[in-house]
Amino acid sequence: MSKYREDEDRLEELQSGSDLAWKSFYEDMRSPFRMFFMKRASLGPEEAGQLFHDTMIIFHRNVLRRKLVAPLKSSLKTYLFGIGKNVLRKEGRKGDWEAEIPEVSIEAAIESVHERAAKADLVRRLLAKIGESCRELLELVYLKGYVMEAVAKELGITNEGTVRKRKFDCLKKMRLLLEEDR
Amino acid sequence: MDEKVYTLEEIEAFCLGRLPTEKQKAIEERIAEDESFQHRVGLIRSILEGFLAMATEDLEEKMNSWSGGLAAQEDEELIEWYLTDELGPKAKQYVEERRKTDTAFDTLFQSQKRLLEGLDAIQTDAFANQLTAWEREAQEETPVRSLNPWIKRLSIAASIALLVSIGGWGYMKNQYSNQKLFASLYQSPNIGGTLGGATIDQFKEEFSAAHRSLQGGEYAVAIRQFTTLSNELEGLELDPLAKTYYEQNVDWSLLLAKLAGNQINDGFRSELARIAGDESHEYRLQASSLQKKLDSFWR
Repeated sequence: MSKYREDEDRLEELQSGSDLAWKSFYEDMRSPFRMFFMKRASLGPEEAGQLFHDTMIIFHRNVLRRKLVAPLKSSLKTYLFGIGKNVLRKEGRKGDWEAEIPEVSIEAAIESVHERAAKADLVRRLLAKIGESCRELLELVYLKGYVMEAVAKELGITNEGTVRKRKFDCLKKMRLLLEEDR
Repeated sequence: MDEKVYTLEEIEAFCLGRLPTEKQKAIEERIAEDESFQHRVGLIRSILEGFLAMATEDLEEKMNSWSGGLAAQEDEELIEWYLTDELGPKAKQYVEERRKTDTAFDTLFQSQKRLLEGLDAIQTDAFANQLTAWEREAQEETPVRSLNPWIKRLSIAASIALLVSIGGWGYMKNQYSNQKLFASLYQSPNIGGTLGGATIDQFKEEFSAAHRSLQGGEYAVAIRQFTTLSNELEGLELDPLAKTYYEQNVDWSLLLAKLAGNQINDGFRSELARIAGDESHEYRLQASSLQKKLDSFWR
């Protein structure tokens, strides 16, 4: 039995895309995270709050992209703090936590808000053209992070294989739309 | 041609970094040598990154809304961490600077400081009382189940937390009234002993009468009686042990009578401080406890 059973259950809830699960995780982690980095990395309250948001974005992406999956090698809290530590390290800042928090591989950097908006706008334009059924399916997969089984259930499709085929048909359709768009 | 070699599913997995290292590397090599494949992978990557950006925007919007609801709580937390030395230098400086410019924050700081000090005093008192009880248990050699001291401490802390949270302000204030403090501190003395002589018998009778007044709630009478006894004791010929016993009991009883009679003034405070600071005084611990309670947040 896994050492982190409760965390794995929680991860499953987060993977389901439940707003309530994410809100609860956010609220549970915010205080200890801020306190830890204010004390151990000498951050001010605003910096600690910003670091928490940046860290949550990376954590969210890792959950959405299934980079973080059971069985877990650490608690979710330790994993989250590990991301925070690496974000700071990439900014050239240090704290007195060495050897206390495990290494967590993270992306080099999160894109700027401006870049993010441009990327998101591109997909919004394509989704507006692609048709309702494809839009609905792709949003469930890529925005909510639903697994095929959950998508099938949500869309009332009995066969997961059918969902998978439709997903790639829609992605291909989107790629063609993008090619036309450019 | 490329999709005959690599399916869209594989390209998606490549973009999301989900492929085994070997396969990931093979696709990277293919991208490097095939421009058309590179272009197609680039399109898929743009789409997936766009979805990710949308998901992030959605999360950011939610996080901003969640954090907005936590703003007040965060100020309280920040102050608590400051007071319990859980902050680094930069955050400490922030608290200190903000106190100078933000009156509401400074008011919150002051009230939270008092609250924490009050809770600390309650815990200290409760713990001291519990220690006394355990000592008594040990002295009586009562067969009791051995408990880890930390479990006992935690039980007390939990009881206090429960008391504070469910009992409410009014209850705590009531527990710290002069009369409640008197009732919790007063113990009937052991009157009897082996003293002899008419003068001493008379003293004993007066001593008993003063305690009866105290027990009966006639505090003004008790104050007069204990004051008289205190004066009489100076000229009384008693063995040193008995004399010390009576002196210390009269000192303490007089203070308790004044406490219950709401006669707390500077003289009362300085006498209380004297007893609390006297290592050899029988009622030193009680006096120290009473000092803290009188300065308590709950009063």
